[in-house]
Amino acid sequence: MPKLLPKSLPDLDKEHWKYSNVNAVLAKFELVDQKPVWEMTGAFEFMTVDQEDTIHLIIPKNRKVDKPIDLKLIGEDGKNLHTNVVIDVEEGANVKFVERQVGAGAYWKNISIALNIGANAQVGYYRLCEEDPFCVVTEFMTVNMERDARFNALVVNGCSGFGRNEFKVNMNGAGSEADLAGLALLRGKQHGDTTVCIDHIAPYCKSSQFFKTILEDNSHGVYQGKIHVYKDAQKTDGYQLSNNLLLSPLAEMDVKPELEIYADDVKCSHGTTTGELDETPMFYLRSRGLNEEDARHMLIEAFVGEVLDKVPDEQIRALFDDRVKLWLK
Amino acid sequence: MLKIKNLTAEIDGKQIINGLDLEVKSGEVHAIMGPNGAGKSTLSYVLSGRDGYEVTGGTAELDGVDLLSLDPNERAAAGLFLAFQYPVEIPGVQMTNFLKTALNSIRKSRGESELEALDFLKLLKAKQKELDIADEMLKRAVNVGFSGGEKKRNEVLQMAMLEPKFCILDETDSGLDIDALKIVADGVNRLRAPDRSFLVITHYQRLLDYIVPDVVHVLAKGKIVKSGGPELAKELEAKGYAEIVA
Repeated sequence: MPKLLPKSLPDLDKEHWKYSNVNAVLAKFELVDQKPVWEMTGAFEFMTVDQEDTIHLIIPKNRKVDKPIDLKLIGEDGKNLHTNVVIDVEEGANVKFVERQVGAGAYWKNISIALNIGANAQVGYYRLCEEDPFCVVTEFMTVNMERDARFNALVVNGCSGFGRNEFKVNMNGAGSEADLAGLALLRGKQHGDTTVCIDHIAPYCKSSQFFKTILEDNSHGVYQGKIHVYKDAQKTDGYQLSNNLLLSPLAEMDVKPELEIYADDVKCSHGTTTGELDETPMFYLRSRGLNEEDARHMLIEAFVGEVLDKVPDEQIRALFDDRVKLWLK
Repeated sequence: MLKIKNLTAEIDGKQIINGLDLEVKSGEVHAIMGPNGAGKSTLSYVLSGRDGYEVTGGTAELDGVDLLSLDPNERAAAGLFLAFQYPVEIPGVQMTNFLKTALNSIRKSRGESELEALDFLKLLKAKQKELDIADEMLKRAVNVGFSGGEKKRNEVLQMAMLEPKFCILDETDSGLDIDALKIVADGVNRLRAPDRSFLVITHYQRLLDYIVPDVVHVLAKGKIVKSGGPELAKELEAKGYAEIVA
């Protein structure tokens, strides 16, 4: 089993922590370690736990799990929770996960998830955060993909005081496809960081990153997205888009799209926009009778809807819709 | 119906409308023609209340209601409709939801009850049939992936749904081939009524073969310099703007 989690804090000299000073935030907290207890529904038959409290889920070969497996971790005031989860989805298996992060009070959740997707297996991974606005959450997910594997992920992050969502996807097998989307809904003094690195190691792989942020008040958003194409990863199709909506003059968004390409026959694109609500569609809606508030609301819902559309499962989509509606109120 | 008196307006401190007078009576169709930069589109945005178009003088009333003091949505509720030269694409907003929200917003501000989903769909189906609009078009996001002709037909559909009393058509013919133009013009003609007036803004006379106006005005340097019957449009087409504007 791989060693996953260093309990030391990340070194801020590192380039990819540039915009998120987690040390400074954690210095304000007095926290004691607590053994994290995940609440899992539908996971029992797949689960083992080792001596070091790493939770291990194995979805056996060619197994299709019909109901989404529900993973929930509750944060508690004054506590540090460090947790490792390893998920092996074996060849040809098909499974969906809904991860819920909830909690109350000031706490730090440091979560490491390693997801290994076997050849021709399919995984949907949907994370919903309903954290306390004073907590710190750092979550690191490594995804290893074998030949023709499929990975579809959506993260809706709206509530931690300081949140860092990091994805490292290794496309080791030819023909695999990764589709990552996310929505960060930030207000107050919240800090939301999404950092994605996709390593195209094998040829004929396809990856997509589609991330949006809505920022109100004094919030601070970060998006760092990288597509790294190895020399042998010919015919790579890499796509990356980050759209960010500033609803307050005091909000700040830092965006860093990166392409690092060593193969010569690839298709890669990236784009990013950060701005206020566009005046033109606003005027169009108002000229059709919508008052300013309704028009804004419709445009913001549309902005987030494009991301939520990435969820193929209607029930899971409804879960996210409800959360986002609540936030938009 | 519409009375504009001595209207002046500017964008970024630059005066574009220079003392414009215009009166359109109930049921009439007026055309405004003019060279590029005459202030045609500016006039349509000033009347509909777009941000950045500042009125510096004069009045504009629709059936006695002072338009210039109203927000864009209040002008819509008062019965004003602008068919855009470049209809706006709004990704993520589905056509049906957009039409229903718009119609119910206007009904609400007129003190009418909102339409239930079923009644709304019935009404939409009827209008859709009249304008030959495919179901598939209504499933898409507003104007996203629409052809030029579809976008303009969509403007006419909105007009038919919202039933305004005064419609401004801003260069509705631009970018349309002759077949698309005929469909759009047919749609507009079907909406002509004794209690509804139109202001048709166009650069070319071609549109006026299909939507025949009662009065044609020539706009130059922000004011109306000549008015006449439909024959004036033909004269402009033959002689060009230079002679008349000069």
